[in-house]
Amino acid sequence: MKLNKLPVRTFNHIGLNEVNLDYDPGTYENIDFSENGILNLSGHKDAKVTIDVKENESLSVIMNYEAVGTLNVNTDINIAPRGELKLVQIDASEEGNRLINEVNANVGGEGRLNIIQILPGRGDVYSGATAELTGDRSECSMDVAYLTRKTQITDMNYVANHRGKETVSDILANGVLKDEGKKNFRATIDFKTGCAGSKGEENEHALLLSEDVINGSIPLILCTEEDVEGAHGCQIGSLSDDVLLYFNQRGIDKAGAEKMISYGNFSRLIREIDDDVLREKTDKLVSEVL
Amino acid sequence: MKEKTYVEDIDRSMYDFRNEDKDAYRLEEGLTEEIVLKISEEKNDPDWVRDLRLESLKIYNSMGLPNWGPSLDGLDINHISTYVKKNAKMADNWEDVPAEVKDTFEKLGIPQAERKSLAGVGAQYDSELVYHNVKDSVAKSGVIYTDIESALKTEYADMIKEHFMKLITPSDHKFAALHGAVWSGGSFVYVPKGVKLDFPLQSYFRLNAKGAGQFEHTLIIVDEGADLHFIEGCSAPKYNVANLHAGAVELFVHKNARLRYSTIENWSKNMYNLNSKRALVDEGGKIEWITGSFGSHLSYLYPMSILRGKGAKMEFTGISFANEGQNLDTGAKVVQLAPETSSVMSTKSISKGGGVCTFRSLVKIGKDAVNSKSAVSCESLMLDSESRSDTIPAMDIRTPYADIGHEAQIGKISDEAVFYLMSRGLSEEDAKTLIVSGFADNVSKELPLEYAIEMNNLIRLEMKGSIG
Amino acid sequence: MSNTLLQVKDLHVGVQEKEILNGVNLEIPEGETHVLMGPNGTGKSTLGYALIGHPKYEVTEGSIIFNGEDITEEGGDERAKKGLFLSFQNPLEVPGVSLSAFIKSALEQVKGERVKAWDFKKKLHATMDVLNMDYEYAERDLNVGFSGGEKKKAEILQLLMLEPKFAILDETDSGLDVDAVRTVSAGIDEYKKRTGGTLLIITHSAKILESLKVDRAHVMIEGKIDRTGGRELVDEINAKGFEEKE
Repeated sequence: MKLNKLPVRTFNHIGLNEVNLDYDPGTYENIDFSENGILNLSGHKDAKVTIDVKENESLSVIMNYEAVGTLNVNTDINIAPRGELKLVQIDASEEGNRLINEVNANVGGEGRLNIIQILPGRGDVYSGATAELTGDRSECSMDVAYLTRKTQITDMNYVANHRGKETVSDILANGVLKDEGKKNFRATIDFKTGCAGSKGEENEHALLLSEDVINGSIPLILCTEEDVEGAHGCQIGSLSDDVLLYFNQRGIDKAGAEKMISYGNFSRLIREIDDDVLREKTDKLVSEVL
Repeated sequence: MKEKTYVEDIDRSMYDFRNEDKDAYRLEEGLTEEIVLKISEEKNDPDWVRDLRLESLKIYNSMGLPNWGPSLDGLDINHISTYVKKNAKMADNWEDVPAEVKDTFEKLGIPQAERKSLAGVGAQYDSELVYHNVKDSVAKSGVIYTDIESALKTEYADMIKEHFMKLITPSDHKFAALHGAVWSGGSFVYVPKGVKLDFPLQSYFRLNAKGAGQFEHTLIIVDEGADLHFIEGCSAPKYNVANLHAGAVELFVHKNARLRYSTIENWSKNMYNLNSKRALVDEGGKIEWITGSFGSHLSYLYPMSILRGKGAKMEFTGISFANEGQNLDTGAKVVQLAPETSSVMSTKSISKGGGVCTFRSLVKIGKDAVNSKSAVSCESLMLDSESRSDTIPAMDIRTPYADIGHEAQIGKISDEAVFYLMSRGLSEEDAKTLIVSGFADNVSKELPLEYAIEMNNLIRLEMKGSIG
Repeated sequence: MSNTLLQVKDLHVGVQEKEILNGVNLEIPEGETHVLMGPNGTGKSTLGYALIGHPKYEVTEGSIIFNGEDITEEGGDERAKKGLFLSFQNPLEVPGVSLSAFIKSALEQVKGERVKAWDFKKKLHATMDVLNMDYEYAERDLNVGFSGGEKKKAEILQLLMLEPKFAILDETDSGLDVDAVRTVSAGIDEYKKRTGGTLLIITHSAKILESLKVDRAHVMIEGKIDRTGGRELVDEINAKGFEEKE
């Protein structure tokens, strides 16, 4: 199964153009979840979820994954003009399982899409999202917190295709790599001709905590439209001396600082879970792992 | 297409092949052993060079074209031998040089004497004289600067053999293999230990040399503690009838040495520029790349630096300007293999009139590169919505003890800035030109004054769209 | 006669082979408010950094005695737990960690025990009221996107929540910033009210000191304490500027 393809290929020897996964999807189970609430995916194998947001409608959907073996979820989203969707996806699988998580969304005029992915090092994760900002003044944000540990792979691919005018995108990934974790982060902001007045931003912070980790990052910006603003920033490594000094002066040592920042990445997103029970459960899960 | 007409019209060959060989060419689809052996014979190659050519040919024939980057469809890859035949042939006759090229010389203010030499039409007295003067000062300092083919017949033959195509190997990619098979001409520079040359060496002086042009090989060795600034190219367009440039530049920077390699590339707009450039830096050494890419129809250009010694450094400052009909795919690669190494990349790109600029980079930090740093910053300016600007950076990091940062920005010329300049009396066009020149100052301020002036003139011409 | 809380004996401090402090002697009794003044680049901030144990600043000679203990060799976090606090001139942004989480964690380190969430929140909000700080800042990432004034408030908030025995306020850049002056003044008042603690204010200009009760002032010139005096020294400096005593 070919996954997480880069919209534009680059040097082959880096090995990040796409992923060739040893997995053949079976028949997809179709699930329509165009409503507020929590969708639990536990005994499933291949699921195709559809979320339709009507005009002027505002939905908050939480997808809670409990993979057994491999869980392959494909989510198709359509947001009608002025519709809003907050989608929180949580990997709460038992350790050692594998999650394939793809999202494809189309956002209509003045629509809002907010995707939050919480990936606390349960197993190998192949996660991504592609948003077509078709309608004028449509917006999307993709906010990811991940922890990659043991011999896990976290492979990501986020794409924002700006088509309409004055569209806005914001891709942010904050994560931590430990042990022999391997992580690939791809992000693409694509300003297509005609998307005048659009703005796109992609940012990545990766904290590396062991000598055996492998970090791969490819943040792309593609542009064929003059009147746009695109920016990308990334910071990869360990905590800077200055940050450590600050924590230090407040009595917190290096390990404490690393733990706080790792937890902080997740806690910010956990706050977005609109369900008290699930929020606490997820918080507990993350705290245990950290 | 106009360019193809030129190629077909000027059918003169550097090699005096017999008739039956000409027939052989017509039947051939690719490059043959015979052709390569002929080249070797003509040049009186030492055995190792001939063997390297043959090995490269095998590799060339076994490799495919890259499956990424701009399309190479316009390159007549099936008749690659034609490029070889026309190797290093610039226009034979001033009359045959395209009008727009002559025009550009005029607009850039290139002196009459230099124009013909740039067009490769023949040595001009003035440039010969200048060259000889430089030759004396260089010789006095102990620096060896000569054409590589002659150097193979001197006491430097072994040094060359030790280094030649060891950094850029034929198996790196198809055009490195092509280069290995048909390379011709180029410069050899050796700076002895501790020698610091206080003026830059310019390849322009070698332009007329036999074999200069498409498949030339530049080999520079800067020995321990030495310091050199080498300038390749110039802003005047280098016209060449055959439109493929597959040269190679290999730079060896020894312990505590410094090499600054500046290039202004302005190949004529029919050119496919598939040059390979690599630097190997030892402990405490530093490589500085200063690159301005303005010409060519299409380019694949990613100077690569391998920082293998402790504390080795790389600085890359570049600007690309893609105008109508151009697809400039450029960038830089750095591989940091030792502790305390650092790399800094600052690149800017400008896309206009349907031109395509792609910035493509790779920062690879190995496990042993403890306490290393890398900072990459790239800015792209879009001058209209017909053009294209893509930023494709990649990072592969395998140690937590390194500090890696990257930032990129893309946008258009600020309306407020243009308005401000216009309110001071500049026309809109002049205002934009001034802003773009200012944008390019990351490179221009690193160049010797006369080059900076020429580069700014070039920008002005590109903005006015009057370069053909 | 109160206890000497901080004693600096013939302190020599350097950065990267360059000596900045060359023999500083200083004594600060418990409960007092001292001021350190001096021309720019003379080593005032360096003293602050050396006291808290900044790794880049190397003590080449001399010692620092805090509350009767020689802490010259101790690490920064140890000193913090013993009650030393520095309000940074230009505090860093720390994305991913909220201001309140940071303070709570620091408080737990200093107290050596878990802090009850509800009590903490109550005290935090009460303190934010004193500083006229919007509660929402507590949940924002530490200093991320904060203006200079907001960063200053965040630092003073930490001072008031952690209640250190000895607080060093590095105000060398605050100068004529009206908001900063107001925040720091309010912070100092509240700190004294809550703890009766000991203060060392490092400043270049006297604006900050106008409404402050200063017990002693020290003038640092070229890495050494040149003069020491009472409140009147502050006024003298304001009038005549810095000059070495004959």
